[in-house]
Amino acid sequence: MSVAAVFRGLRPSPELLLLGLLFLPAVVAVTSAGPEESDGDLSCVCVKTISSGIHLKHITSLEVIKAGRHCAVPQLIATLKNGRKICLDRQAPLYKKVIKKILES
Amino acid sequence: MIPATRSLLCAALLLLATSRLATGAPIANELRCQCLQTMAGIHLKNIQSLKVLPSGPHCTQTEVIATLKNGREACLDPEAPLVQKIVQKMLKGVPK
Repeated sequence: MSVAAVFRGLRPSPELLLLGLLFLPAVVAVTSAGPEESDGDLSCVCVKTISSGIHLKHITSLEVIKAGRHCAVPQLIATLKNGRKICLDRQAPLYKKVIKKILES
Repeated sequence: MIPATRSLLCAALLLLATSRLATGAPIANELRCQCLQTMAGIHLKNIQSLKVLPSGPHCTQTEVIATLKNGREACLDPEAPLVQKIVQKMLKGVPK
C-alpha cells in the first residue's frame, strides 16, 4: 500500500511530459550540428596551416584573404607550381619575409 | 563515329571559350601579364582579398591584384610602400 502510494506520487504530470517533448527537438538539433558544415564561400577555407617547408621558388601566387564576416581570421593561401594550394601560417616570420621578398622582386 | 567525336570536341572547345569569356575575370594561370596599369588610393577597408603573383616566365614583373568588396578587381603597385602595409595589416587581422 505504501509502496504503491509512493509510485503513484512520482507519476509525471501531463504538463511535464509536454515540456519534455518541446525540448527534445532542440536537444537533437544542438547535437546534430557539426563543425564540418559549410555555407559555400561563407566559411573559412583553411582548416589547418603549415609553418615551414614551402620554398619561394615553388610558389606561383599568394593570396591574402582578410578577416571578415565569412571568416574570423585572416588566411594566407599559396598556389604551388604543381597546382596544389596550401594554407600557410600567417604568424610564421618566414612567410612575412616571403611576401616581402616577392613584392620586392 | 569519327564525325561525332569531332563534333563533341568542337562543342567542348566552344563551351570552354564561352565560359572563359563569361567569367570576365583574369585566370590565375594565364600565361601573360594581367596588369596593364596600377592604381593608387585604394583603402584597406575596401579590399576583400589580395593576390600576389611573383615574376616568372609568364610575366617579368610582380603583380598585386586586389579583389574589392564590391567584386571588382584592381592592380596595385608592388613597389609602393602602401601595398606592404596593406598586406601586413590584412595578415594581422585588424578588423575592418
